[in-house]
Amino acid sequence: MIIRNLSVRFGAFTAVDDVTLEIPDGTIVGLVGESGSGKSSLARAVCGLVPHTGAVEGARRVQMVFQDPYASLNPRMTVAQTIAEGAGRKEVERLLGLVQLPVEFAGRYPRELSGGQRQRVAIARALGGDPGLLVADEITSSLDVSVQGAVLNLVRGLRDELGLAMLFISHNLAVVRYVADVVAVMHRGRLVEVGPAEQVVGEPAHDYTRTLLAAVPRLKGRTGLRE
Amino acid sequence: MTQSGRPGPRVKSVRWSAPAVAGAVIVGLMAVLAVVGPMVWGAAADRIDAAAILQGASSEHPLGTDNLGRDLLARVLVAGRYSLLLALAATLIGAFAGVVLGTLPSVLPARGARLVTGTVNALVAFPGLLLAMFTAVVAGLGARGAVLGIGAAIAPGFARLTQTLAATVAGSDYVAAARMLGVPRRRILTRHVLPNIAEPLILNLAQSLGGALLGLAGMSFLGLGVQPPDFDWGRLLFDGFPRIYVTPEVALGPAAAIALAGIGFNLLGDALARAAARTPAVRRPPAAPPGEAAGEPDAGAVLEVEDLTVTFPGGATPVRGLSLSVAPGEIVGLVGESGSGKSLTAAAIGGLVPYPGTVGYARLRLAGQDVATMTGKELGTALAMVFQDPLAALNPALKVGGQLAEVAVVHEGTGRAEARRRAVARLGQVHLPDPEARSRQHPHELSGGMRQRAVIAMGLMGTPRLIVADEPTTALDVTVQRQILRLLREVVDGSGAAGLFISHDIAVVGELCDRVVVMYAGRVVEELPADRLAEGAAHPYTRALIASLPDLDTDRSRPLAGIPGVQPAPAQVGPGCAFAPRCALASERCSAERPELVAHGPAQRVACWEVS
Ligand SMILES: Nc1ncnc2c1ncn2[C@@H]1O[C@H](COP(=O)(O)OP(=O)(O)O)[C@@H](O)[C@H]1O
Ligand code: SF4
Ligand SMILES: [Mg+2]
Repeated sequence: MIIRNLSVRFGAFTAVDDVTLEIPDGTIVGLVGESGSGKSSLARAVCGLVPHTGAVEGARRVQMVFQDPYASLNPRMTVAQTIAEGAGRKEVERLLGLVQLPVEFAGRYPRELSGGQRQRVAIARALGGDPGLLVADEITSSLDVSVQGAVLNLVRGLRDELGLAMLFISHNLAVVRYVADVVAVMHRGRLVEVGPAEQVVGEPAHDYTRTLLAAVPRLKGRTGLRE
Repeated sequence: MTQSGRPGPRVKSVRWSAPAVAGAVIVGLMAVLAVVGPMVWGAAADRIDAAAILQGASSEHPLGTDNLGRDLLARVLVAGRYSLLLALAATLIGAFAGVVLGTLPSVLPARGARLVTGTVNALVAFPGLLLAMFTAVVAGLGARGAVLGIGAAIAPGFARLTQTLAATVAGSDYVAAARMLGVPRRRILTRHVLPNIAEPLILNLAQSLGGALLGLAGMSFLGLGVQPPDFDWGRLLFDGFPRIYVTPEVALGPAAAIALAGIGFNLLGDALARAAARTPAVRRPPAAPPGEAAGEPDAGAVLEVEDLTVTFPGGATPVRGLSLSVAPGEIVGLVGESGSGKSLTAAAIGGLVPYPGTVGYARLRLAGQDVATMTGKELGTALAMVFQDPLAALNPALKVGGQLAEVAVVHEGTGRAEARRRAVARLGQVHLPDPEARSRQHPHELSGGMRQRAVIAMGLMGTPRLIVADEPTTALDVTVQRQILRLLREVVDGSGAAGLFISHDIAVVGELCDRVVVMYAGRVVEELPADRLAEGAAHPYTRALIASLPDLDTDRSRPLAGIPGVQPAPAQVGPGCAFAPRCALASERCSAERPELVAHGPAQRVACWEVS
């Protein structure tokens, strides 16, 4: 599928400025940029949640997984009810299997689940809508690193297993590099660089990409952050 | 399983303050009166006595009699049932109409929705009593008209409340997800919106009952309500009023009943609403007195914590015998998965452990002084705290500069002008661009990173000896995060204060801090210099945390390492090593016996049987 000439305006402010981006089936495209760069606005536009100009072509249906798994599940619905919303009751078991949750979770409420488990439920719900494109907006940034790894593995597994096309949004280039095939860098509403993940990280072409790279916290070569 | 999710407001425990007790007692008595009143005093209330017409108070008739010689005390007691039933009916009618009006906009097409919203807004602005009288006159004199009238007066408020609550839920991510899945509007309303707004609406019902009672009495008093031979409290008041100068007790009896019931419902409604809101944090004195025999004093440390324990009723102990110290100019990082007790450790240091938690320790000293003996003022100047959500630390109604100045005025008695000048200087010190102009803005006008700078500047208004930062950059993106981390380092270097930096992200901790303390299930499992993290971490948990972190050269062809399983809940920590169920190296000994934190080479300590 392809996003063509998409723009989002809030009054006089242009949050997304003429973005064209291709997301082939079986590919994860990672979208990085600082907060306010327009990533979430682009995601919401692709999902039809905010008014926009331009087109989203070739995706049967778009589903989204949100950043905060505590806010994205209805606290009064069980896991099974949540997943069945798009998929129907018969699919619940299969979808729980896809996101590697035990079937016993079907009757539980969100408050009985950990953050990582909730995010799996949200992914299962989205998969139940049989998406041509899955949009994941910062889905690991409110999770512990120990849980993030498992969710990232799951996301990559789903791509391979289902041939899913995915737009994976994060502000952390290390996370995006690991999970995505193609990396798109967004700055002030525009895409400033798009390329294969290893290439964008290894030989960044744009200054802004280099800034993002320098900001990734890392253990090796630590400085104590003195100027 | 973590329990950090809060599914909407929820009545956890009604704090039984005096007004709440009074409200509950009054409402309880009213309910009893409504049930038994007519049975016990019914006959007396209807007994006509031609010999005792229009009397004042006497021992036989404590509130006097009416124009047929009926005992007024009995009539007041009997009228309770009718008055309360009418109030209940009016409230239910108003609430039902309000909820329907309030939810209509979310199912109607845009134009209809705007019309309903506009109507509700107009009605809310319209005086309630006028609306009630108008409806009552149109609907016809008598109880039915009055009930409908009061219902009509209550409805707009309910509609507005419903609309506001529904709009919040409608904007939530789970409703967005449902819309993308093609769930129909009506179903979104019944499955998602209504269940999540029911609780606050029901609370509002209790408060409305009191209002309806007063309103109905008012209507009857105006002659628009209950008509003879029926009688409610308002009617009794209406009948007694002309005699108020001669025998005031005949009017005061029903008036007192109305007032008492109204107050009762309002008090109870208030108490319920307050209980549904979040329970406030309460400062607790430490459970254990500071002991003298608590090991070597750490000479020169700004913060000394020895054997700190935080316990909640029911056996949950989220912090278990934790010890750490921070030297001047040093930043110590406290790292671990969420739920490991990091924030409660910070809260204990600041005396902010929420009720009903209790704090115990052998030593908890800030700049050599026991924290429990410090006044709020002393603690406020010596300790600066920065949290994940800067908005929680800033008052949305006040300008940033004024808030900062306030700290100096309150804590040090600095003059206004001097305090303002210092506020602007501190904002400049944290590199807020154009501090003079920014100081005149409200918090919501600043970006997330700027707000966090403002909170740090606020901490610098005193002369902090210790800066505690609890996940200060977790809500920020990596670019802004780096700026804030740099600032923290600069502030610590510049002031010679000590820093305690808390994060679940071991990469961030490793990069900023001098020393790292790793927590698991309430205990320290490893302590080491930050520059040894990458190569020298010894505890299996620390190593697993590092391994699960994707780096810019992580092998993309292999799955990322994670840590299987979950951290045990604070009430479920067993006798052995708490990490044993998730540890690849665990042996039988590990689950039976807990390893102590022991030295592992210079400057490093580890609690693990397999490391020696
Ligand atoms: N509803 C809105 N009204 C006005 N401005 C908005 C709205 N939503 C987002 N913005 C603005 O659009 C810009 C991009 O925001 P967003 O898409 O959330 O970026 P990101 O996901 O990268 O954080 C920001 O400056 C934000 O303030
Ligand atoms: S003590 Fe045993 S279970 Fe605990 S971390 Fe060490 S090896 Fe693992
Ligand atoms: Mg965003």
